[in-house]
Amino acid sequence: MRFSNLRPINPETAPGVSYKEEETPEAAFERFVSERYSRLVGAVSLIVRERHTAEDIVQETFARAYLNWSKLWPEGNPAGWAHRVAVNLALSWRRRATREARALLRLASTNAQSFSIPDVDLHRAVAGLPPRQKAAIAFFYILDLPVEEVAAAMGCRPGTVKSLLHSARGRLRKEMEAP
Amino acid sequence: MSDPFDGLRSFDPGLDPPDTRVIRARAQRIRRRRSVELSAGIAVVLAASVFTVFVKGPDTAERQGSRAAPAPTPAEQLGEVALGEAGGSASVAGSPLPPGPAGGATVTSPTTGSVVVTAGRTSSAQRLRIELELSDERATPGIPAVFRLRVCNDGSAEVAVSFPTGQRYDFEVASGRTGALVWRWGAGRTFTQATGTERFPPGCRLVGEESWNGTDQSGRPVGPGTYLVTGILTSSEPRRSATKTICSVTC
Repeated sequence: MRFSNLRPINPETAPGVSYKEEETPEAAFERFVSERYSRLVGAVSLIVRERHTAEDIVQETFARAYLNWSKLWPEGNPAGWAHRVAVNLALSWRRRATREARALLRLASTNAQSFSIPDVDLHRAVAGLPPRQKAAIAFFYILDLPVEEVAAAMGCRPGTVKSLLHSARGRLRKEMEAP
Repeated sequence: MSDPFDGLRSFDPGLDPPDTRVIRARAQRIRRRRSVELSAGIAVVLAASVFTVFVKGPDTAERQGSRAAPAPTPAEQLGEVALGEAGGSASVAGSPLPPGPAGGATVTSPTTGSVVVTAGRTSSAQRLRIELELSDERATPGIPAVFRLRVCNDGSAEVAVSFPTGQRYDFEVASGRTGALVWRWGAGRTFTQATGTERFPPGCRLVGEESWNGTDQSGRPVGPGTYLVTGILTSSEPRRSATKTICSVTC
């Protein structure tokens, strides 16, 4: 793959990739992966509830980003693009997972193949949320994205994201207050 | 009122990112897959036109022009997933043909009588079995493991298979733990870009034999553990063998 645009990143036009003067595209991509990988896997794992699937989805996301890197860097928004691809892949995986696989995941809610959120009650509560609420929660809290970016990643309006977050919070409060 | 999800803000699994070479290799596989899908789609359109001309005549072909095989599937579809690739899932049976345009494209050559398979699911393609044989289930340092790929035609008629390049086969080794590809025989090799056809008479035929010395793509020995080996017939619509496991040092 040839990278022909070897010029410094303009921090005003390249959100999602931290500025490094005169960085090559390959180095920028490596740094992009290194900076984003772990938390993106954490966010996706909240949706798919299985570690290896989450890693596979994130690696697929970064592979697609690599194919499009000349369009995404330095003047695109690689982080926003990656978030959108990752959430679509995760929700698509959820839709395609068989009933049996979902039942197995529910039974193995604390198995070694998933990441455990330290707060057990929070872990259990998040696990019970519908997929789109989980996606909104994952990207808003774990990736610390503003509502507008979560909406862009999920392909919906900011108002919808706010509604999803509000519903998830209400549901969690109700569960925590339950005897 | 406190935010009940605030506890998630510090959630970070603390994973090390993969080597970007693994990411780049995966990107190459995505590109190849899209190229095959595009070629297969174009081949279906051409084959359908040829079939119509040979069987039904040129007038019918013109009338049926608008009912030719559908356009190729777009190369990139966000949300359409092809996960678990490159041996990431240890399948027991050989993988079926990837989904292609409905109806497939099978043309019986009027001169040789052989069936030419270019794309799609056809009974002729289903008569071809791709078999992988390993010389040993354990890779011992210093003793290469030999991989053999056979194509078996279980039917009674010769089957011709088209290839987009000079490459006829490939072997892949993936980590049994992560599913990530660690070695591919064809990586870094150059093949002629000319298309070609191979004919498989009834019975089995050895199409490829290569050895693996237990290293990754950059020549470093792989760690101990289970690895997944897959043989691939690199035809226009690639066919993969059943995955077999091989143990490196200890499992």
